[in-house]
Amino acid sequence: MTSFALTPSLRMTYASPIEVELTRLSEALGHCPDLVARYPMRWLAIQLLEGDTLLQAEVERLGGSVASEALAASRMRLETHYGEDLDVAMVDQRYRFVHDLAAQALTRPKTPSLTMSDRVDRIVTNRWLGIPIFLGLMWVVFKLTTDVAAPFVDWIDAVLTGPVSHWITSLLSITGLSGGWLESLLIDGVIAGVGGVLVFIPVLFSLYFALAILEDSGYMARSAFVMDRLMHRLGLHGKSFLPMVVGFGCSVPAIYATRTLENERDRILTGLLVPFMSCSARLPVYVLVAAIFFPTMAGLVIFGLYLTGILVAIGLGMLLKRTLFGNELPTPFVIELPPYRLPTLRNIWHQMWERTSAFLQHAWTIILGTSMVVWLLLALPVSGEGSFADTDVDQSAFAAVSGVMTPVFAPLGFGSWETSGALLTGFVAKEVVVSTMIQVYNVPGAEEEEVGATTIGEDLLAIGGGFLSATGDALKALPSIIGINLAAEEDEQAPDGLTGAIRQGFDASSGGHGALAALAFLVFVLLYTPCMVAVAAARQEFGSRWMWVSIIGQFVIAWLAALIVFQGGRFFL
Amino acid sequence: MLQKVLQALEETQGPVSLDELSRQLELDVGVLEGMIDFWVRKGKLKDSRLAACAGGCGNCNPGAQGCTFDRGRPRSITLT
Amino acid sequence: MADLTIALAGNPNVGKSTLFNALTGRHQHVGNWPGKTVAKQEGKLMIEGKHLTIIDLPGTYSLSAHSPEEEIARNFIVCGRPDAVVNVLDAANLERNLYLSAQILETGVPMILVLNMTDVATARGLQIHPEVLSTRLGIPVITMAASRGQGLGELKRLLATIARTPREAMLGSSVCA
Ligand SMILES: Nc1nc2c(ncn2[C@@H]2O[C@H](COP(=O)(O)OP(=O)(O)OP(=O)(O)O)[C@@H](O)[C@H]2O)c(=O)[nH]1
Ligand SMILES: [Mg+2]
Repeated sequence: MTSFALTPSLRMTYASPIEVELTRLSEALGHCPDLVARYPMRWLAIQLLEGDTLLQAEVERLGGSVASEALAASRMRLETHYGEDLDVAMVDQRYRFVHDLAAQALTRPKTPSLTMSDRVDRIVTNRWLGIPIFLGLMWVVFKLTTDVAAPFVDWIDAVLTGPVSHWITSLLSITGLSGGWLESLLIDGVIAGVGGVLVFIPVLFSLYFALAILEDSGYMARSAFVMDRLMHRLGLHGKSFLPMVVGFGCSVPAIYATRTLENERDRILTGLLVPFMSCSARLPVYVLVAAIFFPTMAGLVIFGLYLTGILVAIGLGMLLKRTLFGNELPTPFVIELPPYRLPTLRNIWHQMWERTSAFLQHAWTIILGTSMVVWLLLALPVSGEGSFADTDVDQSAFAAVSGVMTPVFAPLGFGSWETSGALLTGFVAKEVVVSTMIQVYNVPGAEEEEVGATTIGEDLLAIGGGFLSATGDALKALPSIIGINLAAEEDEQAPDGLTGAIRQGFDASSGGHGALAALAFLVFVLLYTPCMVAVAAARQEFGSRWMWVSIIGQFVIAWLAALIVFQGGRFFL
Repeated sequence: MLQKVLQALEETQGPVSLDELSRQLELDVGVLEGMIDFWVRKGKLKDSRLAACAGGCGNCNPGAQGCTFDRGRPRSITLT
Repeated sequence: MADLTIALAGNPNVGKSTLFNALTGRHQHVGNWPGKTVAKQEGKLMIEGKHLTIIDLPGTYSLSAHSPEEEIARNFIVCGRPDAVVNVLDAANLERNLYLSAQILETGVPMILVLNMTDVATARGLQIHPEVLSTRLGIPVITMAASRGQGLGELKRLLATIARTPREAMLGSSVCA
C-alpha cells in the first residue's frame, strides 16, 4: 500500500503585496523562539494581517516590541493597497481559491433538482397564491381554537363554578366564616375574576398549539415573507411584518422586535402598527362575547377580527407613510426561510407549555390584583342603603367610576357602566376585560343551582366524567374545521345567568341592537391599547411622546371603527 | 466575491429569500451564509437574530432561549 | 511507540461525532443540528497494533476564534500538535466546507480530507471528484457515508499508514493557552 504524504503540497497564495508582507512578517516573528514553539509561522502571519485580536495580544506578550513593530509596519505598507479592508481582501481571496477548487472537484447537475422544500415554496410563496393560503391557514387556526377548545372551556367553567365554589363555601362554613365579605371576596372576586380568565386556558392552549405548528414547520417565516412582499408592493417599508408575526402572540416582544429595523422612522411606524395585531390575550374576550352573540359563527367572527387588525395596520401604515413619515425608499433585506420539517411533539409541547405558563403567571399577578380591586370597588356602596360587600352593584363605587366613561361609548352601542368598566380595566391587560365582565354581570344567586350536598368523591367523579365528554366533543368538532359537521346542531340553550345578563346589558345600551353593539365592542377591544406593559415598552423604545401618540391614536381609531360598525350596521339593518 | 453580496443587497427591490439571492449570485446557499456572517461581523450587515429581544420581554416570560413569543420570528439580514 | 493523535475537525453538523463513534466505539452525542459537541472528546483506537488517540472537536466554520467552540477547535489544530487532522466535510455542501479546509491547509498540519454525506450529495445529483482534490492539494481524500459505515475501512487503512510512517518530531511540543 502506498504511503501518502499528508503534508499538503499546495497552499493558496494571496495577491503579491500580501505575500511579500507574509514572508517578511513570518521571518520577523521567526526570531521569537516562544512564538515558533507554539505556532506555525505562516499561519500566524496570515491571522495577524487578517486582524485577529487574540493572537495579536499573544504576539505582544511573547514576541515583545520587535514582533509588534514588524506587524504594525507590515500593516502600514499594506494600507496603501487595501486601505482599511485588508481583511476583506484576504477573506475574499480565500473564497475565490475555494470557489475554483470546488468548481474543479464538483460537477453540479445542469438542472438542479428541486427539493420538496423548493416545490412547496413555489406554491406557498407564490405571488398570487401566497396570501390566500395565509388567510386559509389562519381560518383553520381560529376554527381550531374555538371549536376544539370550546368543550374544555365549558368543562373548566363547570368545575370552577360547581365543585370548586362548593368546596370553598363548605370550607368557609366549617371555619365559621361563611356569609361574610371573605366569602364574597373569594367567590365573586377571585373565582369569578381569575377563574373567569382561567376558563379560557384551553383556547390559548390551542392557539399556542397552532402557532407552534406553524412556526416549527417553517411556515411562519413564509407568511412573514409573503406579507412583507405585499407591504412592499403597497409602498410600505419592508420587514415590518416580521415583528407583527410576533404580535399574534404578544404585543410586547413585538414592540421590542422592531429593533431589527434600522431606520428610526420605520421603527416608530412599525411600533405604532404592531399593537393592532390581535395578541393572544384578546382572544378570551372574543371567545366569550362571540359565544354569547354569535354562537354558530364564532370562528368566523374571530377570524374577521384578526383580519381587521391586519387591514387596519396596513391601511394606517400606508396613510402614515404618505403623510407623517415621508416616502423614502424601503430598505431591502434578506430573509432566511428555514427548511420545512415535521414539527416534533416535544417542541410543540415545550412552546405551548412555556407560553401558557407565561399567561398563568400573569393570571396570578395582574389579573388577581385587578380582580380584587374591582371587587373592592364593587363592594363599596356610594349611594343607596347597601353596606360593604352587600350592595347593589349599580350603586357601587365601580359603577360610579365607570359611569363617567359611558357617554363616550354611548354612540358605539355599549354605553353602559358595565362595559365601560371592563374596557377601563382592559387598559391594564386584555384578559382583565373578561374577568371584569364576569364580575360586574355576576347575578347573585343565579349561579347557585343548589343540587344538594355532594361528596368530594362525587365531585371528583363528575370532574373526570366532564373531562372525558369534553374530549369526545372536541374530537367531534375536529372534522368541522374542514367543513364536515358531525355534531348535531346544539339546540339553543336557555341562557344561564351570565349569558343572559350580558345579552340584556348590550341590548339595553344599544336600543335593541345587542349583537351589533357586541361586534362594535369586540372591534374596540381589538384596536385600543393592548396593555400597560405594551405601553411601557413603547415608552422605553420610542419615548413618551410617541407613547402618547400611540395610546391616543389607538383609542381614536378604535372608537371610529366601533362607531362605523355600530352606526353603519344600524343603518343597513 | 464578497463585495458582490453587498452590491446585490443594495440593488434588490423588497424582501428576497436567501435562496433567491443565492440563485441570483450563483453561489451555494451555504457559501452565501458564510459571506453574510463575515459582513455581519464586519458590521456592514445586521442580523436580526443578534438583535432579538434585547430589550426584555415584559410580561412574556423570557425563557432560557430568549423570549418565548419571539422565537417564531424568522431571521433577516439588512444593510446597516 | 508513542500514541499518535488524530483530530477530527470540520464544520458543524457534518458527521464528525458519527465518525468518531464509529472509530472508537464510544457514544458521543449525535443529532441533526449544529453545535452538539462543545468540548473536545477523546477516544482510543487500535489499528494493526498501533495505538491511536482520536479527538472529536466542536464544529467550526473557520479558524478565527469567534466563539468558545471555535477557539477550542483552533487551539487544538494549531497548538495541540496532532499527528494528523482528519477534516470531515459535508460533500453536499462542499464549497462552504472547503473554506475551513483552506484555513487548515495554511497551518501546514498533516491532513486527510473525508468527504462525508456522499449519499446526500448523490441524491442531489452532485458529482464529486475526490481525485481532483487529492491531486490539487496533494493530500489523501476519502469519500464516506459515516452513518452507513461506508468508507470507514479505507480511512482506517490510511490511518494505519500514518502509524507506520511517523513524522519527524515537531519543533516544539508546548500547547498554547
Ligand atoms: N445522510 C447522512 N447523514 C449522516 C452521515 N453522517 C452523519 N450523518 C448525520 O448527520 C447528523 C450530524 O452528525 P454528527 O456526527 O452529530 O455531526 P457533528 O459534526 O459531530 O456535529 P457537531 O458536533 O454539532 O459539530 C446526524 O444526524 C448524523 O446521523 C452520512 O454520511 N450521511
Ligand atoms: Mg459532534
